[in-house]
Amino acid sequence: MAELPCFGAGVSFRSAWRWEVVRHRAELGAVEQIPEDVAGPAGLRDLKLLRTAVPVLLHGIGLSLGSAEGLDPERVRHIARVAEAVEPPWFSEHIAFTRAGGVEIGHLAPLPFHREAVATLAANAATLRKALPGLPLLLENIAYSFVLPGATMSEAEFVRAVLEEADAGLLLDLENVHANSRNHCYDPLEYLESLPLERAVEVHLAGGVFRDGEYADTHTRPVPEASWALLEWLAPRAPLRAVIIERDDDLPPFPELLAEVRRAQEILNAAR
Amino acid sequence: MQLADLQKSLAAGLTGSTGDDPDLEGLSEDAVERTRRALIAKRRQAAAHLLPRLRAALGSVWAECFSDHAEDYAPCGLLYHVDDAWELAEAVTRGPDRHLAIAAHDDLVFLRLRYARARKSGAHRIQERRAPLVALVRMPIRHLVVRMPGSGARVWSVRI
Repeated sequence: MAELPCFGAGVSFRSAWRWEVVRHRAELGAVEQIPEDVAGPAGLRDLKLLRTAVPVLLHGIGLSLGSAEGLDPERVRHIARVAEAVEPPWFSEHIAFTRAGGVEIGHLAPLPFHREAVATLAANAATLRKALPGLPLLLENIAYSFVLPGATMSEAEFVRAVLEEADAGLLLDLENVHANSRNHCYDPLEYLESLPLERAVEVHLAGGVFRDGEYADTHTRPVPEASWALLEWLAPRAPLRAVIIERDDDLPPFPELLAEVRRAQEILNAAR
Repeated sequence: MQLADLQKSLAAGLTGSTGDDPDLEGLSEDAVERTRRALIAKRRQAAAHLLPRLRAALGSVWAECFSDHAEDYAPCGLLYHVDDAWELAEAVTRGPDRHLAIAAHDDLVFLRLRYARARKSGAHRIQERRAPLVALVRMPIRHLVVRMPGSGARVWSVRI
């Protein structure tokens, strides 16, 4: 991971922001594209064009790397096609499953914190690597509402084991850390200290809402101060190459997002 | 429980995709139910963006209508939310309410301008459209939309 390029702060790409991204490209270190959203040759053409303006990172959401039934070859081929067109510096996915028994959940579901789940994810990561030769893989911690039965290790031990067995870098979603620490009542800094921070390459930041008695990671609000504080703690302790501000819905005017990008970049600069 | 069995049970529990009671022993029923509701809300929000005319036409019963649809249909594919919205809109076009059927039809036209949907489920159920399309749209004003063949082809709109 030591040779990976450094991009700084950027945003998750949303087509509604296409022109703003191009207009403000000098202020964006990178944009992050979800490859599942790229449908067909026209989508690939648009993405190649975008790449001429700003570096593009690829972040998968539906490979279901934690599925005991293995990966869907059609999805793997799709990711490979998009990666071939974009030539990203790395590919990232989640420590989660989204599909089982022919049913798509449409959401990132947690894995039980045990050895079988570690081995399953590592085996699927190995399959994926064959389709993405030479491309570094990052794995992201998720937000979860419940812990599955059968856990034999803590969440941090599980994430560490997955990263080591899959030989992957860490995409550390600090908003997920913030959400989990609130919902499951733990100290977020103790959690971060337990992770292999030398593997942390990228950070995600977003904002959520309180709903049904829990803090939900909805990607619909500005980044909360608690997550900014985690980035300030993390930045001097990890070899971060990129910080991405994520917004999926309730999209704000682009200048509001740019202000968050600038704040993230200032934190990165201060840590160097 | 083996990982595969646990995942099948959880997927069924979160999506309500089987008639059987999924085996979720050791899990908080409240947490699973909360997550299931959050999933439906996420699907509903995505569908509202893709079906703005139907969303407006349904007004206050939109949420209830979507929940009924979500209980019966498990979307699939890379463009999961497009598949979900497409299924709902198609079902409404076959319904008895003419105003709703027109709204759903018009939303479907705009989905069809960008995408094609295969009968078979799978990762590529929703694909980029390459075939031409000529369709009448009635809301908010009557106009004809014409899409040329090819990938990323041009679209014309003619008021009639």
